[in-house]
Amino acid sequence: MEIIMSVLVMGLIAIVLAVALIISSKKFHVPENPLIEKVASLLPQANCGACGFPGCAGFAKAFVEDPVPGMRCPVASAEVLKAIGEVLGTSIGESKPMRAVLHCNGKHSNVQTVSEYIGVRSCAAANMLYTGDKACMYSCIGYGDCAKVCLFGAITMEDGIAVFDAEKCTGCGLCVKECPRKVISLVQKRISNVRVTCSSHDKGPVVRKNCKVGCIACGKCVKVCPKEAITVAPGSNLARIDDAKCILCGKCVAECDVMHAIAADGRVVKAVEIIIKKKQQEKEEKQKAAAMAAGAANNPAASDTKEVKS
Amino acid sequence: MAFGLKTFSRGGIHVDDRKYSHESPIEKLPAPKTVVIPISQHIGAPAKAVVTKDQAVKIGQLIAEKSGFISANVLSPVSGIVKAVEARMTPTGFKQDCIVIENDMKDEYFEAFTAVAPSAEVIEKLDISGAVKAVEKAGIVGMGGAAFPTSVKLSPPPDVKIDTVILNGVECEPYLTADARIMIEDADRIVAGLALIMKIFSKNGPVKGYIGIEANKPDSIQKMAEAASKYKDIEVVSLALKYPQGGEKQLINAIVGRDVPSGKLPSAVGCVVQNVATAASIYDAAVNNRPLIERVVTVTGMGVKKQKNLLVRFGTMFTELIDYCGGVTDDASMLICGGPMMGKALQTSEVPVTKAVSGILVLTQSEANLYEEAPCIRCGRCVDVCPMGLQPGLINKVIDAADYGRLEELSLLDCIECGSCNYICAGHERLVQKIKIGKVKLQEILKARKEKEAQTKKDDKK
Repeated sequence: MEIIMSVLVMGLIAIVLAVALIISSKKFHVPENPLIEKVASLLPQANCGACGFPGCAGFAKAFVEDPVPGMRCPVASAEVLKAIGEVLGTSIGESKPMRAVLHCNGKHSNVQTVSEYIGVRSCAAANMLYTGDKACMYSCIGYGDCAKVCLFGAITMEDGIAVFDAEKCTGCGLCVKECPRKVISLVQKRISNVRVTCSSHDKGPVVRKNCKVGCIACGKCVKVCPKEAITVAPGSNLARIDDAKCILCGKCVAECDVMHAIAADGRVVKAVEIIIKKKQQEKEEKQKAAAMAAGAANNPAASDTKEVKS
Repeated sequence: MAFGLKTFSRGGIHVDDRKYSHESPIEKLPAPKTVVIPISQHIGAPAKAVVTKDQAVKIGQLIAEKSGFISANVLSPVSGIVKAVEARMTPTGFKQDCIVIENDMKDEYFEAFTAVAPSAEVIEKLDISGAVKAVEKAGIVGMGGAAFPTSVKLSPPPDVKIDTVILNGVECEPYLTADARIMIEDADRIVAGLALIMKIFSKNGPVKGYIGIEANKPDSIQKMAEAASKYKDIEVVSLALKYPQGGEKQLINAIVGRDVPSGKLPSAVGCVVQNVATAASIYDAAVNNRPLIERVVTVTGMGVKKQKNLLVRFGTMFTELIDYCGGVTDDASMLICGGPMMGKALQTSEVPVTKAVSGILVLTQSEANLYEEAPCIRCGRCVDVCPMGLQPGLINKVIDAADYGRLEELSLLDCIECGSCNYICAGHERLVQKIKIGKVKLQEILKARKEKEAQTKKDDKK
């Protein structure tokens, strides 16, 4: 009897509560656009905040309810963006995939170390204190603030500079914001990338003194570029490549053969090798020709001297 | 410890004072062949260079003019020829625009000056209407270390009533003895400067003057008390030894028991605090028309052969000062501009003395006490010692978590960066450096919020 009573009582409570829940869920229902959930589920779910909204859900809400031109998810791939466009029934602005690159090659083996830093291992802290333990005051500090903020594990610190994994990098731009020296920038994600790996505004002799691989703004690359993509802004003492104009021919990389301050990755590396080989061959041929010409002219003279000596 | 001495009420630490150079009288360093003068030696807008290359200048001639309300003039400390205006390394740790002047060793002054000996009668008779202007012209800034333009401090808004002027002779930083020596050797000038400052503020009612000195400098206290006895309403206060007593807010609390509210200036509680060396130069500028061209710098630490107090022209290289003291020892390992608690480590001694440089500290390996960082054990000692009542350990954790928005409720901007928490920390965490990062990040947030508010206000109006 007692068992039946308790079952009845509990059952009754359950029914009352269930009814209350149903009524309240109907009465206090908050209408939400179902599209938001759909869009949110398509997004990468990295919650990196690179779009400027608090996470992917926040972005989806803003994107569906109050879209502003230029609003985009920098991380999502083209397919994802297309899928989102299908959900919303609009073709949203195509987002070009980007990636981050470092404009510095200040490895410990390349740039002099002038002092010992014992403070907080953070680029921001060191940058607030002084010009850094490297001789160059424009270089990558190398304590990895960028690697700490990267949510995709695309940055590793190697020999005092940040190394970017082009595959893993999504171009969210968090590292660009975090870097106190501003030596990171976003470029188009293409088969490869050509960039000046230096940010020093110091004059040539100073750069040479501080670093083995700095840009001395000699302007050789400017001359060799077929698309006028490279400029040395007056007073900046630094060459910069306009990524939009660059056609990845690799000529500048081959031309910068003294300081090696222009770097390429991906497929351009092969092209550069071919250009360098060709150049070397030409040089050798020239030398040979010169030596032959000189030999022809010098031989009689040489034999003359021999005769005198003997 | 002496009982009954005044001190500030909250937090603070007891550090070994190591005043090695206290007994060594101030020596005048010969003017150098070349001086390097940064155009920004003060807090606020950098001055604007008004000389060009190859121009001849004389001592006290204006070489960089103040640009903005909070800014200060820069005068030439030598007579000679301007060699360059270019970026050079300065004690800030960064390159800044500097004026390089080659000294012709003639020591010609740009304007004539007088040498009126300080006394109560001189101050009483003095017309103070031009005093603040004279201070501004002479390019005087606070010489305790912060280098706030003094003329700005001396001209508060008209509705602010100042009833207390405090001279800061505390010099609570270990090692440094520059102020202590000035008080022993130049007490009359300092007290006359204080009387002058009091006179400037006395138009809004009576002003009381105090000179705060820590009890570890009995000779300074005695000399200053002798000098002060000739004036009305000036009292020398002997303070118990506690760091950071030389902080403006701490000193006011110690002497008159008032608390400066968060985010406010000392004038909010009717006080003005000036360094003793600043007071002496105020007297020189207002009475004698003498420009500020030199200061006393303590060169100390076990890393130099002889610890000395030197009177040097601005723009003299640290290297020259250290060489004058016999050079560095073999085990010298760290160079600091300022005191060991708040000073800044430098990577080169090829930087010039500026208005804010109170000491050059060369530490040996064992003195520098460099510990490895270890985890926080939550002992809470940083909270006990913080003179501003903050929670450095918690702040550190919040910064580590990059939760910068929370720093506002933790009153981070109240931090005076005295380093007490850093000193006491059982884990030897670099708390102050972290806090400095946090301050920058918090200020970014506050600025963004302000801009956003301004924007919404604009939109609402539309």
